[in-house]
Amino acid sequence: MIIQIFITVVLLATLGFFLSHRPARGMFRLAIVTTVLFGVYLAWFPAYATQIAEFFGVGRGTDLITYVWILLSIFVFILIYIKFAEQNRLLTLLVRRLALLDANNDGNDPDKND
Amino acid sequence: MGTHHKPGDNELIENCWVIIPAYNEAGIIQSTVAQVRSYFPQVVVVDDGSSDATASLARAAGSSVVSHLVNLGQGAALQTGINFALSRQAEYLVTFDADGQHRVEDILEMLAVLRREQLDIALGSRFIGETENMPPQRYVTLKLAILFTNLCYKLKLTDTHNGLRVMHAEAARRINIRFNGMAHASEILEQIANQKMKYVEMPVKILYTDYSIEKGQRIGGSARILWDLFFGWLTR
Repeated sequence: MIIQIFITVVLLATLGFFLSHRPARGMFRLAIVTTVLFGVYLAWFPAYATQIAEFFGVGRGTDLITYVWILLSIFVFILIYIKFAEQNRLLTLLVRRLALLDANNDGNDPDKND
Repeated sequence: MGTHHKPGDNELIENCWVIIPAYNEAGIIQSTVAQVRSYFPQVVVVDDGSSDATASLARAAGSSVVSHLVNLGQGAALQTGINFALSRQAEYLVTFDADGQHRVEDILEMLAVLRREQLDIALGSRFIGETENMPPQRYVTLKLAILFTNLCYKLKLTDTHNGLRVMHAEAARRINIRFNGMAHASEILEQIANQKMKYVEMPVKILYTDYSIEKGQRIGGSARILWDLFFGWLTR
């Protein structure tokens, strides 16, 4: 009973944070809400996870959840990597533009002392 | 060092910019710049967010300096240097390592061949030329990198990670380095291959000094080059 309450609170808090901080678009928003509510449902009715697991040919519900979790982690990792690379690219362009502007403005810019 | 080149070469040398990417090279940058400037007056050091006095020492040695506010990596520094040199109407661009492992005399040879044969880019190779004191681990890594690069881009090169290159401005305009780290070396080759640039590989002598060996290991060394190559290939 304690773990169910704990999971429910954490999931709903995450959902609340997500919805208030990210103006997610239609389908994405729907997917997030569905996933979280489904997670809450599974926390209270774990037997249902086992039923789904059996449908997919996985022995136990916990195993299924582990597999899904791993897949989601990989997906999230790739998303973050792409985002990071994009940010890095922008930072590079910004720093380069600034460096060239400085160099063209004068040859006597103060040395960095920071 | 004697200046024994033909009179017509002066103009060539005037229009040639030597680009030296440098990250925390205060210990050697002055001597490298001085060495280059004994032949080539136009030198730009791209200070890649150094925390030491690299920028001011380079400037004191008579180089132009372009400073990145933060450290981005050698690939990014090279691209910044290329942009700078092109904005100064460079006709030929040279990339040259800061750590004193290249010889300025080799640039002259490469420039002469580039011009005579109307090529886009000349690449230095330590495996055609002489090399002194190369650490064995470095040898194995470089050979692996060469094998990998030649397979990927269908080029026939003997050295794929040599910092000494001489290119015509037209070629420099077509090169766009997106990999900030060490994978830029392969990226340049990829673009040479894809754009069917006319290239030549020429023997250059690499001086593996204590300084350059230590530096080479500090910036990530062998494992890093291979990882960058692999990752670069995955994400291209």
